[in-house]
Amino acid sequence: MDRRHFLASLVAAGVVAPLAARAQADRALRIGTISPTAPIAAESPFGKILIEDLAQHGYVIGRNLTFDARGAMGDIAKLKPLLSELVAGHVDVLVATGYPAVVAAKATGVPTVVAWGVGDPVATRLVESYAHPGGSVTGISDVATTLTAKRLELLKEVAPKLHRVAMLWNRNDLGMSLRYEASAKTAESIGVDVQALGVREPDDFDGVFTAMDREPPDAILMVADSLTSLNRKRVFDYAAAQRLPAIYEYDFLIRDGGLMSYGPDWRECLARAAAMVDRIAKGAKPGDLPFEQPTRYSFVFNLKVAKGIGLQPPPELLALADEVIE
Amino acid sequence: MTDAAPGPSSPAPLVGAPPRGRLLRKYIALFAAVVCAAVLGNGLVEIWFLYREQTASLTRMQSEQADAAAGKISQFIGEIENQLGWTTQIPWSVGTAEQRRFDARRLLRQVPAITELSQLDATGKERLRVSRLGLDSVDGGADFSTDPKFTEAVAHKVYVGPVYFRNDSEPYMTLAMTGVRRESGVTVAEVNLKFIWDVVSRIKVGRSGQAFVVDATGRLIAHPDIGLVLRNTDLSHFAQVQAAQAAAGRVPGEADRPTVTESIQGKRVISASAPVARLGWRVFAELPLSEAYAPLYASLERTGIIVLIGLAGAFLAGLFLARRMVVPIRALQAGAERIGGGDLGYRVEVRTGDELETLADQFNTMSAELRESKAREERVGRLRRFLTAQLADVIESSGSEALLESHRREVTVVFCDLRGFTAFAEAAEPQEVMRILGEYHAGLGALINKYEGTLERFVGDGLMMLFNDPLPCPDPSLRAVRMAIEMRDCVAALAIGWRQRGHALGFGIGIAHGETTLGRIGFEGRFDYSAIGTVPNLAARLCAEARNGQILIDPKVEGAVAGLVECEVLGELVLKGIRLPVRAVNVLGLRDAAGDAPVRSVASSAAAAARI
Repeated sequence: MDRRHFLASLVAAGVVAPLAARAQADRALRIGTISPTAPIAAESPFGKILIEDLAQHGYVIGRNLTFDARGAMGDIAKLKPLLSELVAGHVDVLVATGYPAVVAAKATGVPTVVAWGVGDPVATRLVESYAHPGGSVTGISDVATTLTAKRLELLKEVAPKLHRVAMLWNRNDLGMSLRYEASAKTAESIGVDVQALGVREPDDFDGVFTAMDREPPDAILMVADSLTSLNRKRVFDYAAAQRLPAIYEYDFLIRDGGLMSYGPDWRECLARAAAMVDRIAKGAKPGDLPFEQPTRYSFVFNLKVAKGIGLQPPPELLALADEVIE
Repeated sequence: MTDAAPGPSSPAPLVGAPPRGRLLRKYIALFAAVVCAAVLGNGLVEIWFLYREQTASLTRMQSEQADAAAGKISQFIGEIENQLGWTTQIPWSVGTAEQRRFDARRLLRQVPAITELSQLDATGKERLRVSRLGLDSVDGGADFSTDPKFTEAVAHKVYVGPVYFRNDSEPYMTLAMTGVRRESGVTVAEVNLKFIWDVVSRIKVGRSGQAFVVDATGRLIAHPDIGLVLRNTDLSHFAQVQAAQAAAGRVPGEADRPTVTESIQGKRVISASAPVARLGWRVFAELPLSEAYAPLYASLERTGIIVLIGLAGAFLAGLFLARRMVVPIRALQAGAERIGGGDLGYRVEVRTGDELETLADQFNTMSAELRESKAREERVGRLRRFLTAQLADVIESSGSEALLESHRREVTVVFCDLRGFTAFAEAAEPQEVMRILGEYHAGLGALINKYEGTLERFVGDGLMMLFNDPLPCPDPSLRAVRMAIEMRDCVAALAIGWRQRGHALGFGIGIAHGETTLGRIGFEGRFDYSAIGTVPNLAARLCAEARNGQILIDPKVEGAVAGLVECEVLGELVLKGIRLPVRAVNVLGLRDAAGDAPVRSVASSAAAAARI
């Protein structure tokens, strides 16, 4: 027995093994984000939050995380080639927002975590059930179908004389269609007509405004979607010009100039999405990770916009707001 | 073989030598056994105590953690109850419906865990419902008067419903309360139990341990891995859950004893549980065994390393000692071989300062003694040629041959030979000559020894003997005469047989006494002890004069034995080489003890007869 060799092998076993283990751990997690609108890039507001959340789980860009963002900028047809790029880059997990993006992501078979924007995933058959999604997609629901009715209720409180609500939504989006159908039913029960204004492409918005000019609504309900989000400024401007109260799904739209919003706390959604990405990175199958429901919902009101359209909201409602922008 | 003389400078030939291998194995085995037994014994004792202490402290800690967690969950539900409490204080007659709705919505805002809140009036009709998700309703009027959330709340003030799962996934629970007055109705809250996740995920059980909550039926309500909860996981078949449920019915607190079992994730864990007050739930605090007993494993590892080091040490010590032993032993072995091979001058060199050195010294002493003994043997062999065996031994044991140095002394010289031997020897067959000489010498040799005479030399049939030298004796002449008489008788007896075979051989003796020169003569490799001078000469002449059966003695001998022997005077003899004539006397025999009558032996009579 060669003593020197023996010692050398001992040392090697002690030193090389941990190094190898570290090298294994250092293999970066590759995340791709896919959005039907603007990409959720690392420097975007959502991207920043998502990256902070991932850091909570120990993933840091440049060390063990690559972050590749793609956005179709409203052109749904682009989703497929964009996803092909991500797949070619061997992404481990996709973080997707919006129904069309998730549907396209599901087709790739890459584990996909939905951050928001798919409505009822069971009804749209994205997943088998909440408890056991079954396929390659899991995520967190935005409860949009249910909340649409709740939003109508809030509109009614702001404008008690509400009769007709223009609902702006994307016809190409099955999630959106479900939302529209659900809210149409609700609207009847609270004595409101829903003026369905579905759009398919950005140019359709001109038609939407024309239609509203023709039949003026008492309020606008805008369903957050790639197409509608892209055109949000035009909607804000139109609502301000026509002095129409409007409700939106997410609070960031209110900071941009919307009147009010009621919806899930998207920070929570991103945090949960990051947690699921972590689980998948550690070997869990998306099909085994339950599709979650948000726990926190926020009601945000922009008092400045309200003043701009001469709206005097009930003080009780303001008291219930989680955030009032002055 | 002798060339492979072992030494520290040449260890190579030793490697693989069987004797060394055996010693090596024995030593290493012995050392390893001793070291390992000590280290393992110590390690096991340490580990045993560590195990006992660790188990005890873990038991305590785990139970405390489970209790604390149960307390926190209890507190969480308790806070919701407190928040609900005030809504039940106001009777339905007070305040508008809108006011009530506003209060309820504000409660929802304050308590995120409540997803829906409804108020039932004293008859069980729903008067108000507010929700985070669905539409609010005022005076919906749905009848809950038979629903347990109404009946139970009325009966017990507080009703805690079973855990249910919305969308088969999200855990919820109904909490209903009545106010102090019956007419204030019942407030019902649907509580989203996912909020307990905040509580359990903050509970730290060790470094990697977990706390989780199950309801009375064993279903998972809260777990740091929220996915498990949302998957509606049933844990009722887990050993720790079953044990806790079984024990809950018996002695309180017994279920709190931690058990070692398998966790949901399939790890071996120490599991302790505590009941959550009023809810029928149980909080489990589980710590992986790998972490719980990490100090134990570390200790085991340490012991293992020490055993390995000990083994290495034992191996080296064995190697060293075996070398220490084998090198001198091989030296001894080689020494023994060389000494056995006849090299008595070989010295075994061992300088170990221990028993082995003593042994080597004894080896050297032994070889020196062997050498000495061999030299002595050689000397004795030489002496025995001309001394009797006794004399040779005496001279040898005296340590020196000083006795044999040249000197002068009074000695009695005896000369004897056979008559007619020369003629016989020429005529007879050599074998016959040698046979007769053999009989003759054998008979005389025994008598020389008997009378302790010194056989100076013999030449064929002639023998010359000395008395009083080299060892002195008190009566050399008498001894000489006595011996001579017996010799005469002996040869006379032999002569009867010879005559029968046709050989006529006579025997004569001459004895003289006087001072003569004695000493060793000869040359290297061949020394003799010899008497020189007139006395031997005289004895030889007397012998030559003696006829068959005669013993001629000179006057000095005659004087010495006067009165003790019977003699006959033969007269003056002129002898060759002797200046004066010598009075010759023939000894006939010994007188008896009284000294009167001469005792003549049969042989001498026979000799006399033969003469006639």
